[in-house]
Amino acid sequence: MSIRRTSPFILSALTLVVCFFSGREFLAMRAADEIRPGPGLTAARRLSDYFPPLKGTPGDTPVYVFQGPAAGGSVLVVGGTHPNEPAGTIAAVVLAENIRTAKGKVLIIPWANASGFTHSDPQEASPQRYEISTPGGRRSFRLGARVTNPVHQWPDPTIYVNPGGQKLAGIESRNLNRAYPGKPDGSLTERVAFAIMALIKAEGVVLGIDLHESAPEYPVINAIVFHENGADLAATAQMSLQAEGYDFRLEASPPNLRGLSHREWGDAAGIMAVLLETANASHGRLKGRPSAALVVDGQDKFYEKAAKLGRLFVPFGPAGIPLDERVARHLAGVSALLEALAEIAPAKAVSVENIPAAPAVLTQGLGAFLRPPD
Amino acid sequence: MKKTGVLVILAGLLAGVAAGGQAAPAVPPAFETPLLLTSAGQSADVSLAATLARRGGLPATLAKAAEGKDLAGYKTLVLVLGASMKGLGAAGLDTAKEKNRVRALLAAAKSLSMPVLCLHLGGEQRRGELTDEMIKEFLPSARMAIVVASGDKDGLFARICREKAIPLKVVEKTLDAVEPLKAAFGK
Amino acid sequence: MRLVYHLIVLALAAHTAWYLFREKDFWKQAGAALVLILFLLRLVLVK
Repeated sequence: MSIRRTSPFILSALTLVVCFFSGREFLAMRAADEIRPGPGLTAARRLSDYFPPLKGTPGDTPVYVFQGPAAGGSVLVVGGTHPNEPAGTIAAVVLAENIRTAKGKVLIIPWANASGFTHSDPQEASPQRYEISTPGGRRSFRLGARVTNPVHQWPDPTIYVNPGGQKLAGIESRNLNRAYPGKPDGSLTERVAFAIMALIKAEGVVLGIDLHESAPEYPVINAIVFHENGADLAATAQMSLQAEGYDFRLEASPPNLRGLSHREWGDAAGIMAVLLETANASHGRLKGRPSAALVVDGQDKFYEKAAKLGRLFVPFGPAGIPLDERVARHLAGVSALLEALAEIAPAKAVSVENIPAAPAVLTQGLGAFLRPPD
Repeated sequence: MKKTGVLVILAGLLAGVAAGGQAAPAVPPAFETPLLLTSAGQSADVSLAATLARRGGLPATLAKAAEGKDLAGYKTLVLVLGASMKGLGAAGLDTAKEKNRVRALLAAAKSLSMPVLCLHLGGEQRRGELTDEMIKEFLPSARMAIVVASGDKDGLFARICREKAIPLKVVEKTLDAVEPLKAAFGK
Repeated sequence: MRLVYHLIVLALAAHTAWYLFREKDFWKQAGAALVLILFLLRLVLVK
């Protein structure tokens, strides 16, 4: 038999082998990351508990509840709205693994767009995972894509008209942070947004904090974006953060930009809604080679060059902006917002113990505040 | 003898500081409450001013895009300088409209003999071509200005205030502006 | 909608496989095999 006759069979066999191994890697992204909530946890729920039609779908995700013994307000902390912005997820995981609530209630969703964590942004060569060293070993976390997995929500419309009536590019139909306040019979992403709104209403949330990251060349960075309901809260937090050495810019949520958490949580549920942004080189456009090291260490020579040319909105030196620093900023932001809530609305105050202090995260490293793996 | 001399000098210094502290209230406050807070440039820094007023116990109303008719019932106009294209867009304004609004507002305040206090709270990040244009045009109308130091690295505020004899208070951090703000209102 | 998706991908995968077996040039066969990987992964909704 000539090579020409046998090669299609050999190539077909190779195709199946490649499909098997690559398929196994892709499917591994669907296994949830480990999380070990600390002793302060009072209930582990699912988002579908607030909107049952979500049960069994790729949009369902864990919700960790930390209820204090004394009465107070409820605060929602959301990470993983955009799964390629890891500081938000890791800050939420660090909170869930460390905090105890003395007064009021804290609800934490570390992987808000669970479907988005099951794939990577196409043509970006993003790593599937990154690791963080803890004293007891390395913890691995998925780096997902910005939007819902197209396997779970397809096809994208040419023009997406979101629940707020805003016209957007088709791909934004899978962006959780354009889908609020969601629709009970909408797409998977809209149903997830609807479920988060249902949680906010059912739990009487007074303050919602959505943790994000943005590219260093993007102007809304190291920022607190606030709904007008939370203007005083955001300004109070910003000033105390500045006094601690963390400069955050204040950005008002534009009323005509629909579908975003900081707009719709405030408009539809009347809560104080804020979004925190840190600077992440790994999903910026100017980066060099994408890698897990870039996600964790945040060092990139092209961003260094861009900073020298004055093209960035944050300082970027040889040390980069590591994940430790980005998570520390988020933790400092959450602490400052909780303090501001206590100042502005004492009856709705939420008192949380054991939030890792930002300077301690910077000196001891993030791993010191994550529980070791099994 | 030497020790006594040092003590005498120290005592003198302390007396001077104490005297200075006592002398301050003798100066009549430059402004009266209630105050109307507005922005020149629609940046979110106006929210910082509202929080500073709350912390200082000053009754204030925030009207980001206040007009002349809104001045009724107020005794001081606080103008927070800082331009944001995003803020202007969200408010449905453009640069020309915003400048015209502030011009008309300052003219109305002048006709009511209402003093203007200018604030710049966003630091270095809140400087730029558009903000600078507004600083140059509107700061001379102020009776007093309070700015965060990093926003005046180039000395623009210092120069205009010196030329127009406007008292300028420079603070390191935004939070530090509470005290000069209270002092300006005699609190 | 999912059925439509499956049918489209199945048709494309079958066409590519047909091309792989029909084509005489090895490098064109290899090219078809690479494309087939993507279609097969899509067909089973892995990627």
